[in-house]
Amino acid sequence: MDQDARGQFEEVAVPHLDAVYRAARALTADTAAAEDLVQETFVRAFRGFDRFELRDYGARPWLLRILRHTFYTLKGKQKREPTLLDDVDFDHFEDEFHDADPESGSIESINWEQYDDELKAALDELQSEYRMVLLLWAVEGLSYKEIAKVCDCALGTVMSRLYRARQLVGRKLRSYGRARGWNTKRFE
Amino acid sequence: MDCTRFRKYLGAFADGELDVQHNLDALEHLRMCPECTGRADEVLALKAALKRAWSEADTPLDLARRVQSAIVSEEGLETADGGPLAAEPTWPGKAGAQARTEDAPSRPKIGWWGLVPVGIAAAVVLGVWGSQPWSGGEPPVTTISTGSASIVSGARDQHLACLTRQGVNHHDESLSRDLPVIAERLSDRLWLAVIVPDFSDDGFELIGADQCGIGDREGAHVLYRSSSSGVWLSVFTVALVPELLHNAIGEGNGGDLVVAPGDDRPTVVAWRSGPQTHIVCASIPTSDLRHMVRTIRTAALSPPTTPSTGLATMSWKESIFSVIMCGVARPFGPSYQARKTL
Repeated sequence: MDQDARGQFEEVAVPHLDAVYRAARALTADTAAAEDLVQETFVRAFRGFDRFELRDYGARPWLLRILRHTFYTLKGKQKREPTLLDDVDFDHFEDEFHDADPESGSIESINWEQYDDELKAALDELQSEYRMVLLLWAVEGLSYKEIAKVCDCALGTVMSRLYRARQLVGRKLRSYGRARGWNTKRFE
Repeated sequence: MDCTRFRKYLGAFADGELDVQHNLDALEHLRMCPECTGRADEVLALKAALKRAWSEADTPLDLARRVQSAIVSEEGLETADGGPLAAEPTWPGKAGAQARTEDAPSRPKIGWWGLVPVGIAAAVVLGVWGSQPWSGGEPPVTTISTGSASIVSGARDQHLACLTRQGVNHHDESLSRDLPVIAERLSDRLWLAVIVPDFSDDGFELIGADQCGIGDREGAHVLYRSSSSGVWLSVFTVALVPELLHNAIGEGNGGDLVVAPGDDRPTVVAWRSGPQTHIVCASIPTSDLRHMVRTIRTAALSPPTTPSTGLATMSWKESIFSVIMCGVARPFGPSYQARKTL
């Protein structure tokens, strides 16, 4: 690939270095591994740059998709798509409430600003795929359609994973709060 | 819409992702349910909290430089003194801006204008003014007599391991059984230009494909078998193997085609194709395997583009530009511009 192509690649891809690094941190939860992952991601993106069409696919979702693929490939997981065992079935959504255990509750009952450190700890305990969707939703501001492209899944799956991820974070924070005797309002 | 149903769509509503009808239904519900109004606000509060928590992860200052160096290495460009091109980070963003203020070792940049007359003369002499990379005979070949190159032994090991352990079950069912579809899906997953040649004319039928790679090199592995002799044949696509760029292995003249004759081990033929290396491995005579590889490469370098293998041609403009930028004819790699149509 000639230098002009490299320049074009840098122009398109480099502005998203910070976003890619954040996503890498979310996936790996380790600084050194995240840096290696970012480097490998940009190398792979550079290799495939000639096949990238900006008008069909934003640069940031494209890079994040490569990042995700690279993460799972390097971890040796990605011969098949990862299976999340507790994804929400939106066709039987009501069961989420009927089967809910007393420890669960809505995220709406938490004062988020009070629990910054605890929030980070709760995020660290999530499965990487849930952390990824939360990051793409909350920090990168991707649309559901873009998140679906990055995560290689259907729109419904994005919605269900976001729902589940939010519930899991809320559940963990409530556990932290109860363990510390905080006044966490319970959903009834 | 009741509260249960609203909670199902709460996140999408708060994010503005609902279609018109569902949005109207949600708004109608909120008019009558202050509790659900609070729930929507809290979803947004969580979003803000997450953004706050994650935004503190600053990108390391040297990461931009590391990534840039990696890309330059991937590109394989060299200055006249053999070092990488000038590595002054020129990227925007705080990491790049910070890196620019640091002392960086200065390296000379190639002034490519100076190579124009040299390149044009070289192009005329080497006869690369046209789309055919070689008009007759084989390209320069490096023959390995000892087979000591790691990529060669790795390919043999992987070939034997897969046919022994999996045999006819060597296939990822999500890849389909259609050659072009396999190539497309593996290329998409691996960000490599994977080739899945049709060897039916040579008596080899597709057994299957998977993302085996070679050793710790990830890549594609397509397995074939001869219906008449039962001989197995493997085609690997991995990221560029640096030792195949130079004459760093075995004898030969540093050509881009590497041949390791079999004797009592499978024969291996490997070649560089842009940022990929393709390796074919089978226990058949070297001449037969080279003939099959020649067919693949000839098909790849003849217009029009051959969708089934994912390879494409190099235009005459790229041939000349390649000569101008690198000072040597490198007409054997596929064109990336042309491959955009795939």
